[in-house]
Amino acid sequence: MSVVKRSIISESEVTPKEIYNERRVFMKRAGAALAASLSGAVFAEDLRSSKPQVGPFRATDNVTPKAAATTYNNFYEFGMNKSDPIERSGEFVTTPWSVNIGGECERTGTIGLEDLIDFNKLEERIYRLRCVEAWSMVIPWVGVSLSDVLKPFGPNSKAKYVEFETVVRKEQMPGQRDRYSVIDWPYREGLTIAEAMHPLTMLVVGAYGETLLPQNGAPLRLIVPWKYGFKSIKSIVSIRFTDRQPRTSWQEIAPREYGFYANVNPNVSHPRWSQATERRLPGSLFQSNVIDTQMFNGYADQVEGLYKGLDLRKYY
Amino acid sequence: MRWVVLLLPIPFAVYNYSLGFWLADPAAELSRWSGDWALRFLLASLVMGPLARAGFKMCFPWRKVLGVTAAIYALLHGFVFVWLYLSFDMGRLVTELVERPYIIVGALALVALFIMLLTSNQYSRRKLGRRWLKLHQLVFVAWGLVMLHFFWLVRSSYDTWAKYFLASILIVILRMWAARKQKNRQASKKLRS
Repeated sequence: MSVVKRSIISESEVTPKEIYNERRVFMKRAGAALAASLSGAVFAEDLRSSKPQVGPFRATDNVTPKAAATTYNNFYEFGMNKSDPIERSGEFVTTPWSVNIGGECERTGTIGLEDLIDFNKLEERIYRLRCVEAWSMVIPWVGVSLSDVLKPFGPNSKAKYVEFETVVRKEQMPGQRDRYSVIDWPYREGLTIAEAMHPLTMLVVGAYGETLLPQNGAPLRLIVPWKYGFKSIKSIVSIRFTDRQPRTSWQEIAPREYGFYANVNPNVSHPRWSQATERRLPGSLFQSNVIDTQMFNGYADQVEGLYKGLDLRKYY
Repeated sequence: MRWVVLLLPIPFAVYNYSLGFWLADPAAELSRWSGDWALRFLLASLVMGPLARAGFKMCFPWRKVLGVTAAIYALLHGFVFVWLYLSFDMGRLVTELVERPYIIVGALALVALFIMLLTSNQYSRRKLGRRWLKLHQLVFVAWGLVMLHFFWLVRSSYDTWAKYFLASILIVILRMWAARKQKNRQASKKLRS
């Protein structure tokens, strides 16, 4: 269990012990699938010995119990049901893992995960994650700012956007073999260079103090907390700097419904449902925790400057 | 007692609950469960009429039982929406009813089913006479609206919707076949008499 160095933070911000303990029980129960996916033993060791620091941007909302965050996931590479990612990811191998960095930058090439991320500089940040389906969770991610990882690659003046791709491994990811799948693999996402270099944007290797699980996007994923969850691409194998706005998967599937920016905005409905409220999970039978959605998922102070003058209704 | 069919969906709900699927998002789970079963019962009730007319007379009383069950699960589905998605906020209900096409058609289907539910008794049959049969043609309206409601809801894969659509096509074919068979039987009865 990693030791989190505590600075002066309030009670409500510290993840309750119950959640860390609950994790042990959960791990035992999850069984074979989990054991197989934790074959990333190298990274587990790194994460434990690297002592993630308490990072900035710690939401004061109640953290979602790990059981909910790791059993209820949208990761169509494994299937379209919420239970598929944990149930059907047993074959997924997360080590070794390398990422292809390229495009409009000085240094390009394929780099191993252990070299890409400085495991001594890991931070734990508590972020809200808001799905476009109008539910949300609060998750303690472990990682680093994307800008710290990308800056050394020297993006040049033509780099206006950053494009990401998820791995394609049909033999390990059953959803990619599904005839009815709506996604044309690989899953693609993108950000403007300003969004990518924003300190909030995080490259994540762990959650709840442990190595990332396959269902959460192991071993490397993006978190962009002020946008709808589908922008937070998982299991990344490619990061490219481009001069053109990247084609993103959901935008290609349904351009009227999913835009490039996908900023959380209670004032702009999805064509078929309202985005004014969300269900904070987990709910219970007699209480579904419907809360008002906040502009930019509550990160307006930090990010609204990026969108000065942009018509957020037009550029949804 | 045919009405026991009302309880048929419950073991499925309990099973999913025990697997822990409801732990995260009960709103979505309950909504899906009640909606799925309402549609299944609706389609099942639509099969009973033609089967009865084609000669399988024991199917006939099932039409009412299955239809009423469908209406009850549809009401439950609507209730789950207002309870767990809207927290009984009537202002938001009005907004949703006015702005969201899939909710509008869903609500209209629910109204149609509710009207049929209220008039599924001998008293109504007597009072309405021949108009009762016309009124209950609302089932076809409900059927179409429900399929539209479902179609507009789909986010990821049309797989499940396509299966219900295929079932609907088969039921239409069945109804046409049964109508033809009934006509033939009536014709041959006339010839004999």
